[in-house]
Amino acid sequence: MSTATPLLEARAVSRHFSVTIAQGWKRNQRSVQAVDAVDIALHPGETLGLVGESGCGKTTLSRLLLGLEAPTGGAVYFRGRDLATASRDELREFRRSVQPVFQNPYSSLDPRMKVGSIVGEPLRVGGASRQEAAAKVAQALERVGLTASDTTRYPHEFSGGQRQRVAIARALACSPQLIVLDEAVSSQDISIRAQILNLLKDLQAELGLAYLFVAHDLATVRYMSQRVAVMYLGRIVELASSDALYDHPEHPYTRALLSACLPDDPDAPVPTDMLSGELPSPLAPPTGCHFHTRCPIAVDACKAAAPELRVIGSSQLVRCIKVPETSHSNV
Amino acid sequence: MSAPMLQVKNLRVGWRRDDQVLYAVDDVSFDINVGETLGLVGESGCGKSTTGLALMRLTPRANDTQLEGQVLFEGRNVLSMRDQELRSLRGRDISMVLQDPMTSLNPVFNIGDQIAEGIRQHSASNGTDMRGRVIDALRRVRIPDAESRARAYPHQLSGGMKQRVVGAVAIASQPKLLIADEPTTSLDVTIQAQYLNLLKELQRESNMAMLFVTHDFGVVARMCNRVCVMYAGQIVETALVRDLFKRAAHWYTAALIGGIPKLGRNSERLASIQGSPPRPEEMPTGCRFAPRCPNVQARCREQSPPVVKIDHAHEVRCWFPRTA
Repeated sequence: MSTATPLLEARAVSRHFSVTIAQGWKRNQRSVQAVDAVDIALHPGETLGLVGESGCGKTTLSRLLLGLEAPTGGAVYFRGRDLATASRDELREFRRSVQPVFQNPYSSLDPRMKVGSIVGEPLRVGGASRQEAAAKVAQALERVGLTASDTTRYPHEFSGGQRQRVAIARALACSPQLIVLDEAVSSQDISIRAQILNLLKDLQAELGLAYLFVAHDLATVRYMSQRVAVMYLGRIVELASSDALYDHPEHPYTRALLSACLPDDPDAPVPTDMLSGELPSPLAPPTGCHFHTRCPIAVDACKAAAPELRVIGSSQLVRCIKVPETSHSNV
Repeated sequence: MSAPMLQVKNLRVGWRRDDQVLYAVDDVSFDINVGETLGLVGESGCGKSTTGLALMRLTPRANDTQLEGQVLFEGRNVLSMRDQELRSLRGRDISMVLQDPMTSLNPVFNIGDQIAEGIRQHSASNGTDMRGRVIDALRRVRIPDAESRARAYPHQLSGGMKQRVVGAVAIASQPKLLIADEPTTSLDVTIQAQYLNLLKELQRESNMAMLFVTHDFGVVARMCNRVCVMYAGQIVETALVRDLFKRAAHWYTAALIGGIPKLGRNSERLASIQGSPPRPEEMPTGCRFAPRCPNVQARCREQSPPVVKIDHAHEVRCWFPRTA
């Protein structure tokens, strides 16, 4: 792994939300630990995948990394500078360099703005002149496979796949270094999804972009990512290179997720080690290791204390006390 | 071989718009045999859900809706049934599970009442007997602690549990055919795997047939015996599941399967199809896939291709099918 300063880094970052629960007459304040002391780093030009089931905190983590959510613990660093204490200019530079693309292009594009204004808005906020902006908008639209003449059209004139291209063009317009893609292809049909995934890979090769690729579909994440982090109830349970994670998953939750994936071949055997039960409520996460209530190899010690992330083999990080130090990935 | 349980012949579902009729489903034919699982797969807007609805005649009942062709369930045409016959068909002979359990269940009734409502349609049951049947239905979909859960309201259950309840409503009267329209799309991977296993077990217990409407080839690979691939309102290929994955004959099917990232190692690029599917008001003449097809020839743009049989149980709507 590179020792250079990461582009974007979270150190022990947490985000707790307080919620009020009504029990009859009583109102109880409780705290949901959506993201719980997560360490994660993104390096220039790489794609980091982030997977987990709904409610695991992957969207909250991506919002923390975008600066859209302030951490309740820990900090997010952009090129080594803590966002909480960064100056106005540094924050401006951060917001230009780190851009989001959201899941639903029907709600992330203002229906009353023309495509030219939508894509140009981040440029004008950044202080670009009208001519400069127009040139960059045209360039961004052409990069994503649309044309400069599309600037005068409204979002409703585009199909879902084309709208997502507009959203990507908006992210590209101010020459970012990192794009956070939160379920950016999940709502697209297969043929459109393949087009967008190929486009994202081309843009990365051409412009040296880094991606944080947040998704629940494990196959898509493997196709896109060099490294993958798996989240469960607010914590990262496994972080490894994509090949190591998919070929030799170490954490029992990662294994269960992979065996629950649907086959790409009708002859594939039906897995027998199916995970039972459901995700526990994040309002009352299990003690110790959050996964012990569903874990096939849990022992008493798992209920007592939360395990730390340990290095298994060469560089695979696993949060489980039952996985031996030297496992298959050591070859 | 005995006659198929369900035969769909040249089904068309359309809506009158101005002076023309736009067909969402156009000339669809397929059979479902007893105990079989047939997949109906395609992208959004291809007409797969409308086809599923038409089998129970649940398409909107407005003057401008056109239903043509035949849907023969055990020899009787569903499309010409009277209302009373339809009521006894729906829920007892053919049942349905929809995508979103949040909108399939009524929030102001407890789940026991909602299961009982379906049973009451088809049989006279008194209170204690009914309660037994409701609890039995909940047990069949593996809901733990069925006695007390019968009194729960939908908001008290998780998404996966709600979808099980929807399943319990559907199978309470032991249907012969279950139409499942994207039943697991809103569920997480681990819950999806549990639910698909449950459907397989229910099928094994009662030998019911299933029509699986889905966009997900993984679901098809796990669940189905045979598959129909739909594009722009038509079935473009029908095959046994293994033949479809190994020897897709239609260019659309092959491109779709090549466009799905695999869990194993992938090649550098996914196969992709340029453009997007046509809208019903601007259907191309000739083959509907011609504008996006990698192997398009002059003839494809002029004449609609016929359905040709290339093997036992393998049909394709193409002038120049792929040879594997």
